[in-house]
Amino acid sequence: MIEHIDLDLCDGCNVCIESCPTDVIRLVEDGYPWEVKGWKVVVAYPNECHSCRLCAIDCHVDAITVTHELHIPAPFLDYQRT
Amino acid sequence: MNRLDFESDVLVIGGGFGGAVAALRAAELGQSVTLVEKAVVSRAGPSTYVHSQYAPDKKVEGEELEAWMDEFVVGANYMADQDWVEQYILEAYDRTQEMIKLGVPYAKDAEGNLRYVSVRGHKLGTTLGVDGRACMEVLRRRMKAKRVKLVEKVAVIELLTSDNKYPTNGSIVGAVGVHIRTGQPHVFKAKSVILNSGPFYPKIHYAFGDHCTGEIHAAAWRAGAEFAGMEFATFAAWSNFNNKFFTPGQAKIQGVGAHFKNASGERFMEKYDPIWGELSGLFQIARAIITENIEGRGPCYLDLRHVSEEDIKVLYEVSPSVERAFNEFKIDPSKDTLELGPFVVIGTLSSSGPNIGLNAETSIPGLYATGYGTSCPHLMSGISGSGISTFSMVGGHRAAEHAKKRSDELQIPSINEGRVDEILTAYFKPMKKLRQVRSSDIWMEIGEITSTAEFALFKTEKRIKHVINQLKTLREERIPKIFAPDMHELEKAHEVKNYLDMAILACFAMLERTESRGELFRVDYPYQDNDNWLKWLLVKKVDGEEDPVFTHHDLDYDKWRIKPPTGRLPSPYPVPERFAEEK
Repeated sequence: MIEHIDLDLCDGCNVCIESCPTDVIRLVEDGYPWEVKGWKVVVAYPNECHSCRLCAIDCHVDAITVTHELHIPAPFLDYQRT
Repeated sequence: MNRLDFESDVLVIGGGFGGAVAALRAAELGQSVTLVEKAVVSRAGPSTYVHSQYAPDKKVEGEELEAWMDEFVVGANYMADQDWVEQYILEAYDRTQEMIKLGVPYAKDAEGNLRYVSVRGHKLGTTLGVDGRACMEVLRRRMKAKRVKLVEKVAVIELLTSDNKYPTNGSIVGAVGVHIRTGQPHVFKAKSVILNSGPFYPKIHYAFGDHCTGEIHAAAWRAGAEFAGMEFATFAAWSNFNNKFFTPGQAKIQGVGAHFKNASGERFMEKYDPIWGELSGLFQIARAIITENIEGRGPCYLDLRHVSEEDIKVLYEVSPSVERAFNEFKIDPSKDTLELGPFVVIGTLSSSGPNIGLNAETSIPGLYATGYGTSCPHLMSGISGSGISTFSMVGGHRAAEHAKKRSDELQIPSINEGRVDEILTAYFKPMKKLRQVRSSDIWMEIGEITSTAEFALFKTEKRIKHVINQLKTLREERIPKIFAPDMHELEKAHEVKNYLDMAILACFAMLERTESRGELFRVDYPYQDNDNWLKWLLVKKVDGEEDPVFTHHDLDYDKWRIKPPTGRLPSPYPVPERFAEEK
């Protein structure tokens, strides 16, 4: 999963948004509607990240940390059920 | 929203190895080519994560060719089309040599020579280590240079048929797609369509296949393409390590000589697969681990402690993600063992999908298919991913050449506008009304129904029928209630629906084949029946029939050189008492 996007490093180049095969990253307005500070990159659908690391590989300022930690949904792993 | 229209001689759907090679070959032959991809070419599908490609180190011939073929035919449990195997081995050499010339960075030794290595599934055949992403980047640049039109972030939702019928009696004339973020409709007209849509898996965050859920399989099915090998649609893996993380590159890990051990340190694979042992296929290893666990000999471990430092270095070189993952979790393979997490789901391994002939042509004129998204003429059942990527290139090349011959005789076809509107209206339906079911809920329900030991590993007629009924209920009662508030959710809604259609089709095929072979193990028919079942199960959607209609296709063993053993061969696979057939 994407553990962290360092917004201090991120320069908003959008590459991660384009390279994500499951399309889970988005650029959104930062702040409140009445006080927009600019833009920020967020993981809009964190449950759908499949830890492929393409965003981290493509990020040219190394702002994205992806762990290999992965949770296969429990119903697909429980073979003791009959 | 304004519709975008595209016209070309050839439309390629899916931008993996096969799609890219098909597009390049068609362009080289002077065809205009459009390639549409749901993600971005070189950042999509299993091609991106490949660690090696099947690559003969020479043009083999004579007895040697036969020995190499034998490996595939035996590995495919005698289901392989031997004419396909022969052309595959010969052309795999040509295709990989082309890749080398294009500058794909294959793994080399210290002297700068290509390093041909062995991998799971092959004792003779060789493979080359390669970073799939780097390979796809080379192909992407090449396609741009050859003026292939890349249309990305667009999901194809339906194929267009010449007679507007589904299933069609005519030919394929194009496709309809939507942009995955904006929903902008895209309409493609083409003389020929080449599918390279990858496998279908459930969305379980594994094998980086979450965006490969069978949309194009399902579209080809609705259009009336004949399918084969659906009874073998079982995908399994074992590298969900320590219940915490996973890395691709399982074949490579097996290739360096991994040991699979149970809790008492016994190497158990010999017992389950006397021929391949620890180089066995993913399903065979996963089911062995699960059986060891069920019978109280688990948990099971992967042991690399005996592997030389040099071999681990090679493993890390060709599978950098293995090194990264081991580092992240502080695993030292020379000291630590890893607990194995196996699973088995309904999904493609490498023998389930549209049936293709020697030129990658499907049963519908104008429609070709290659790669994971085909029956792979049952070529590589049980054999590693490195084989499929080269197969995809061989098929793509052949499809492009055949499509070129076809296209010389044709004009760009016209399409029925009314039909396009109907397709789009049906697609956007889940957005119109507020309903309660999320697509992710349905994935969990699919898991609960299909990932039980009794169905996944110990099938009987009764158990398969039970699963079919449950999946059908899911399709009829839950799918129409899915709510999609935005484009992202809408795409997911269709993904789960299409997967469910393919899973149900696979279950029907599992029911039809009354024997055990490869990825299909039936407790009620625990033997490989070479007297009655040296056949493919072909299946088609037939107008007016609710359930799929099968025909049995005898394999051409009168003609082929490699002969199977005759009679009934009992399966060596032990069945725990509680999973024996209920009387």
